Amino acid sequence: MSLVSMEFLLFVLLAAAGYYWIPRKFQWAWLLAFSYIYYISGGLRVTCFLVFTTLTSYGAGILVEQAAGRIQEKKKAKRRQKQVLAAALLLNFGILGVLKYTNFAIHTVNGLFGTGFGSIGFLLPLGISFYTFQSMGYLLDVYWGKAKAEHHVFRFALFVSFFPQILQGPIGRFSTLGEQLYAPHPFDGKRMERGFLRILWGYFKKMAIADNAVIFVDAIFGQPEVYDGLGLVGVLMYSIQLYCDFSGGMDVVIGIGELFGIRLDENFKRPYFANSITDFWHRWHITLGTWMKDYVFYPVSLSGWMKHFSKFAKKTFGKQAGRTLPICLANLIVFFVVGVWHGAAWKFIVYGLYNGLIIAFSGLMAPAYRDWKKSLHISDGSRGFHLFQMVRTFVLVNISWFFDRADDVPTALLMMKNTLRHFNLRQILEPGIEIGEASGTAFTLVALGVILGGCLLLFAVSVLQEQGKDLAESFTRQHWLVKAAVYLCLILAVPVLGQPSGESGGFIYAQF
Amino acid sequence: MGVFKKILLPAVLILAVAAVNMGLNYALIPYSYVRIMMHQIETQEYDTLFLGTSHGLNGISPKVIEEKTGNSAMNLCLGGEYPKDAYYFLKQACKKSSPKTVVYELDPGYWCTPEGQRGDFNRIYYEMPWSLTKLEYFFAKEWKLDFRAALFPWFYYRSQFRQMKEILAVKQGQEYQNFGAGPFQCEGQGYADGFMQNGLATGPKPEGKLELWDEQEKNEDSFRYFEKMAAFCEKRGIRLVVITTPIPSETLEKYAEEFQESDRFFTEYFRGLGLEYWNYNRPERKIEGFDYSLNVYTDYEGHMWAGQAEQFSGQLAADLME
Repeated sequence: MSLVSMEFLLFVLLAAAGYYWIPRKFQWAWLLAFSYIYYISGGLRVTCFLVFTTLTSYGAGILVEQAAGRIQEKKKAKRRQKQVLAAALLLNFGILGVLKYTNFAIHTVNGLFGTGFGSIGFLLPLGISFYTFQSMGYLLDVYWGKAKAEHHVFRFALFVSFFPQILQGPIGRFSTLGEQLYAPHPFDGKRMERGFLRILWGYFKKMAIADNAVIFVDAIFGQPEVYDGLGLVGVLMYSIQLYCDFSGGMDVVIGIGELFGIRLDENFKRPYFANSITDFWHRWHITLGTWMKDYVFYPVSLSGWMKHFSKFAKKTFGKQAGRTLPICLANLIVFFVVGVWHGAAWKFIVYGLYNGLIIAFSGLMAPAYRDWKKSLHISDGSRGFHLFQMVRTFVLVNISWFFDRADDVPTALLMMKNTLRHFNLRQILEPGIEIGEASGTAFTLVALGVILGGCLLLFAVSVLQEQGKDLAESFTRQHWLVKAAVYLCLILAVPVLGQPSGESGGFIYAQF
Repeated sequence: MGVFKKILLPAVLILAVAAVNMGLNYALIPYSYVRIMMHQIETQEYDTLFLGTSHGLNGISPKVIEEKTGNSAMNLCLGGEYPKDAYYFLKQACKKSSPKTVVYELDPGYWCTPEGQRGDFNRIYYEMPWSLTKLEYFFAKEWKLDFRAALFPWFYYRSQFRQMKEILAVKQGQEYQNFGAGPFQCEGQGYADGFMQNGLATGPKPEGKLELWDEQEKNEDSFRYFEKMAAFCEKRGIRLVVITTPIPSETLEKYAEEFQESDRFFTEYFRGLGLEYWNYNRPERKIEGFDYSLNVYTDYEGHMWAGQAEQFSGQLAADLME
């Protein structure tokens, strides 16, 4: 059920109407029923995977908790907990790995050894990456004693399957989401209004900005040899498309959560205002970043072998390197996993490692940077330096988008080379160059204008948000006529300015 | 007072959106011959109905069929009409008519490609008057579509804003009020006598992108809705015939393998359903004295010029009477 379909709108409307009509103690059960209807509408067979993950993580959570309480000997209890945890992690990440990465492995083996193994037509359950990460995060929290195991299987099933977020996140934490899902929620008009506004804003970003940008992105990345002078335009358009598509989807999801009185975690915080790649990952796909930090980075950094490595580095390269190198290595591991998570292709691994290497390099160079800044009398607080950092980060991020969007690594490198060697903005207006047979739309000044106007509006909103202003709150306090006018403009902007989402393929992150 | 204030904003908003929507629907969606078709099936009874794609719209003259068979006929074929649309069009038509024969014109491309969302793909739904059939059609078609298709029908015509003046002039004219075909007469093509009449085009013909039959890419919906249509006809005692109109010999030669494969597949499929399938490109069905050269078509796809369509319709009428 696509987030832009009529079916989805009516589904949400029905779910929200019934949610406030039934007795509050049954609200969570109502959400569970709708979450499963939503998932089953994508196919009954794929639902088996969701049920499997739900049952294994539910059972493992209880077993881990019971082992701590029932087994007297601490060592034995810990060993039992570890066994249960390892089995559950192996099973669930194993399924994810087999379904998503087997064909990638086959193609890699074929490429390396010239073998001719055929691809396997696996089913890929919707949102498998998101719900697997969410439920495994819960299990690790229980293991570390950060969360109590949920003993009600249906309540736990709701945590894993809550329908607005299952397709593209945000990846929720049991400690914050679980409580909200099970609590009764009285009808709150103001909250509903905020939710509705957020949903409209999300659709505006997706349909009016991202779906116009996709015209340019598909053409330029689809035929890099034809549009050899437009590599820069292509990557800038992709940075607009990806941000507006993903964050727009998040706005819709979070807005729907608000309709049910549930505050989902924010996934974006004006990422293009970041002043370093580390800062960028604190602002972009935040819930994946924090998941990686809590469940990959810290366990790796604090592991026994890393301590050995740290000692070795200290001995060999000195105190400073001994402290920095293990962090660099842990970051590289994290971003390798991030790359793999993004997709089964080498270009995604390169994309992840590129980010990891920049962060690692920045970590290693931090003392040198400090010295340079001191000798050049550059203050961290100066506006000019902050702007320089933002532009630098934006450039670095855009380089990574070449790997993310191009068909493969050689194409990404070719496009980067072309970007540096040729720049021919005129290609955008050359008659006769048409894109995608699907839409039959040529590059148009109208599309460019819509993207530019949309980005200016987005920029203005982002600046105000960056200054700490709660725009939604101020909006709800406006006179009803002002609100009606803004709503009307947003509602009409979606069909007036937007491109058909069917042609652009829906939300990018809904394929994970 | 409190409740009134609470519902004021949503009520005003809904009314404002509905008003703007109605205005834009009127100003942006051009007059279409689908409106005439819908009016005809609402007000008149027909013995023979033709359903199918643009090949049928350009190739079947209901006037010739009526003259030859003595039965009233209506051509409901349209470019972009998938079996799903044809099924609901037929259901709507059968509210007034009790046809004896339904002829479905088959273009194999519509059975192996997903429904696109462009041009007139939503026109039948838009022109259909409110009824249970329309509601059923809504759940079958609009339900899965981008919500803008159902909520803002003008969405797919928004680029027509430059023609708004002409669209409004046509809609305020007598022809529109009386369901006339006058506005559809333009150079080289015109909707008249119940079908799209193409002029005889000279010079090079566009090849375009031919949607050829590919069994691997079967559109399950097309099969499902055709079978629904077959069951509907069987239940009402309607004779259902499937045809494929003649296409240029140049196209047939170029894509011989695909056309043969399509003929083999569909002959077998329709035999399984107990239906007649007349493919006018098969050697044994070739029409005597009929010019199959590209000269009498407007393109490689096989859209005929009006004179050729009338000749073909004469043969079709004779075959229907047999």
